[in-house]
Amino acid sequence: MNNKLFSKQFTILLCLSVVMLFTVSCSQEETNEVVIYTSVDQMYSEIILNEFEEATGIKVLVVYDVEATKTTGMVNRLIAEKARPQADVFWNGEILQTIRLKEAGALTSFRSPSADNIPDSFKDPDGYWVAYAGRARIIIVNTDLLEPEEYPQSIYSLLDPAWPADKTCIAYPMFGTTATHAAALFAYLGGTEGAAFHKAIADQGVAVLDGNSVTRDQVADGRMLFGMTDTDDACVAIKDGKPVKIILPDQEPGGIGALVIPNSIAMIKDGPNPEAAQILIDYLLSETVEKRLLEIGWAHLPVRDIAYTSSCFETTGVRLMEVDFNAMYEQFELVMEQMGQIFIR
Amino acid sequence: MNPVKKTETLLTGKKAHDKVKRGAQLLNSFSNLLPLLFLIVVFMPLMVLILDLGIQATGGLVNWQSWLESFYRRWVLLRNSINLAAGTAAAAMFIGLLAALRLWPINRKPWLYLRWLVLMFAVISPYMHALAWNTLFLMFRAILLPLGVELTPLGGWSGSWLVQTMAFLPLAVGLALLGLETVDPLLIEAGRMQHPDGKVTLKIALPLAAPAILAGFGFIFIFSLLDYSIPSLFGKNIYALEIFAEHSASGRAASAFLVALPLLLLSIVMVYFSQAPLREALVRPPFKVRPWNISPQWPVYLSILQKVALIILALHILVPLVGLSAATGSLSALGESVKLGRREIIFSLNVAVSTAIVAVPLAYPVASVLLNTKMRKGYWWILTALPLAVPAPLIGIGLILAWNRPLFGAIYGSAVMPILAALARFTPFAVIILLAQLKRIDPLLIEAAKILKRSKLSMLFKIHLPMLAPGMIAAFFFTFALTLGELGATLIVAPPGKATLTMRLYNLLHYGSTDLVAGLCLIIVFITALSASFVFVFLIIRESSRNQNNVRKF
Repeated sequence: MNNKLFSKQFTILLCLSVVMLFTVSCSQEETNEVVIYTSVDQMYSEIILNEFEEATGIKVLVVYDVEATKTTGMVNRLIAEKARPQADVFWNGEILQTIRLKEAGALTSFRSPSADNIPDSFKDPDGYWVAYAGRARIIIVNTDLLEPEEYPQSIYSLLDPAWPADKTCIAYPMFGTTATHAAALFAYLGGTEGAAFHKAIADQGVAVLDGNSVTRDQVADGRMLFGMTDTDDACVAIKDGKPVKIILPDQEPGGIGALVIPNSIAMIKDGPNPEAAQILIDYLLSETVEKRLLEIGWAHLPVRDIAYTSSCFETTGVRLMEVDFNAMYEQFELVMEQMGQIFIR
Repeated sequence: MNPVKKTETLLTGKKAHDKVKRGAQLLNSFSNLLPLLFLIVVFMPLMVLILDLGIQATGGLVNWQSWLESFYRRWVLLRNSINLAAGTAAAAMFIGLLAALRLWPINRKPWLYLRWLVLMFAVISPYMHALAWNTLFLMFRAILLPLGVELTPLGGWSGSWLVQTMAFLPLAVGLALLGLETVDPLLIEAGRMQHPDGKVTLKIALPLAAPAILAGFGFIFIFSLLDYSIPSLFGKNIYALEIFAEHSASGRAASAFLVALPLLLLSIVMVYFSQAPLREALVRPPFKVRPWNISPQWPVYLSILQKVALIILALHILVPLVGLSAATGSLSALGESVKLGRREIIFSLNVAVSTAIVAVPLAYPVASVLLNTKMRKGYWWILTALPLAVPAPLIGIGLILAWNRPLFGAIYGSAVMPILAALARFTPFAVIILLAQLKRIDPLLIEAAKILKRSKLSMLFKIHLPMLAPGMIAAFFFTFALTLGELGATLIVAPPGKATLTMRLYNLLHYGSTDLVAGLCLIIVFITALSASFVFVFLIIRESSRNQNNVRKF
């Protein structure tokens, strides 16, 4: 009986030890590692981060974002973790959420020699972030359903009564790069006109879809004539041989131009591995990586003078929309509130 | 025996007895604390969010003006959400009840157990259903278009309603079957002596099963209310999306939680009215005999309706499987999916198994409280079911606020966090299943064991746990399967460098890799089916060995 009882206690003790070991092993930290949170699609960022591991021997622990959670996940996680950050580096596929992190006090300033040849307009004056490797907001057109002379050439084509509104589409302007585009239009056109444009989109019944990839798929499948999405999404459809074409909007002289949304890199304040973070940031901001991002199809418009020809659209002589990222951010929360009121009803 | 030796033996025996007594006392005190542990693990995220809202509100950080300005718009959204949820729950329960009526009279083994297998498909997420139905629709569209037939696109409220109804159908069938199983077979047989089977069903079975069926309606209503993914995929907005929009715009969990409060209150009301009949259905001891010993003769209309319901149920199972298989393309593509997601598969299995292992002992004391507590049962029931009504990302943020502290440094940032997220979301299911099983334990057997066994510890391991085993295994399976498909909360607390299969799947979805996405969906279904098979094989073996024992005794 004693032995039996002892063996039971021993078993319980053993179980507890296993649990403790499990917990401890989980929390063991490698000294030569860096933690990065990224909203860049895993298919692209994984390539770059694997190459970094091979080049430096520093282990990269990644947290990826998912479009299905409406991009609220990662930035809100970083804000919630601010008091005890887990991440060292934030690599964002756009820019406004990075500025939000700066304003929330979740970032620290840094200087990277790799960013020396990046224009100042793509750097935070206080050194909290650096932007590069742009993606453009474009119109994706179904070439089976529209003749070349019919292709829409402006974002205002969404309001053109010539098209059935329910056959044209955008993603929810409260989330992701469509939200960034909305903020840019508010900054460029002014609050009244920006709001009027979006209200007209909603009132006319333009299809508002569940993300840029859904927009791409609906146009590629022929359920929509055209829609607004990002270059990386549209290029996937072109690579897959879908009947689609990319149109850069508002390229006429004096036109608004196409909005380019750059990637942005930031260092997390009080992150656990600051030295490794600096090495990773230097690597990510290098001209080689910017070029690599163009090659693999994540970005299409470099901010540096890099010779590059895209296989899915013409990247030379692009007329860009002139925007000030900080000015965009200043009214971002207000714009998002308005977008919610206009589109979620 | 030598008197000294005899005394020594007696002393040793007494010491051992004392030790056992102390162990039992310790176990008892620990058992008393376990419901508290449940509250900590399951409710901590919610409590922290409430606290955060209080702090933000008193600090003037909550934008009440904006909240009031959006009141009417949000009311319209809430009304639309209620309409969709009510329509979905009504349709799912109606079809589910018809299918359950057909499954109810099955008395032959192993079909008696296998009919519950339909619950296995409850773990396929609504989003996966939407993908499968869309794939099927596009296939038909492509076939019919050259013939000049253009199918109306699947979308809008009708599309949302259809796909949500299909997604919640297995749960509806399971809950309706549970309700019908609570009807006393003797009443059915007595009714059959006087009236035709159709009348017996309508006048006796359905009124008696109605409370449990209405409770099923309540649960599906809540699940539909929280699922924004299908309506937004089909271009319609519901209230749950507003929570994400608020979170995205403000970046404050408290603001998002404030927006979520009406859903939470609505869910509390629904749970309050659902809990009593469902609890009654769950805690009713099993009947010694089965109903419908002679196969029922349904009226023609009811028989046709039942067959239609079974066809819809079959479609519900086949469309995701066929749609996903067609989209995967080939076995080599499936192999590629496995290769691509092998790390995520291993991590997902680790998280799901660990969650299921912890959920069962965590749920057990709460199930005991629900079974035994005379007073405040309703409150405990609400406490058990309430976490089901909290949006998953808010649970994730609540977990960060609760656990990202110096004291819990070893836990936060480790693989324990996704386990805690899944526990917070799915332990209530384990409670409900264990509650049903606990009531099936014959109290006379426990009393007999108390007389014959010397220690509570021994009784626990040799009597109580083996009798509880089917419920424990079922609770394990359900928690395991639900954890496997979890995304919203896991994404927010997943440790750096680790990702679950669902996270990988949604990443690929954005990239447009339909074949790989479909392949990963199939893997999730396969793992779920495999684990469900273990449960049913266990139940069948257990039943047959019990029958053999009875034959031997005879």
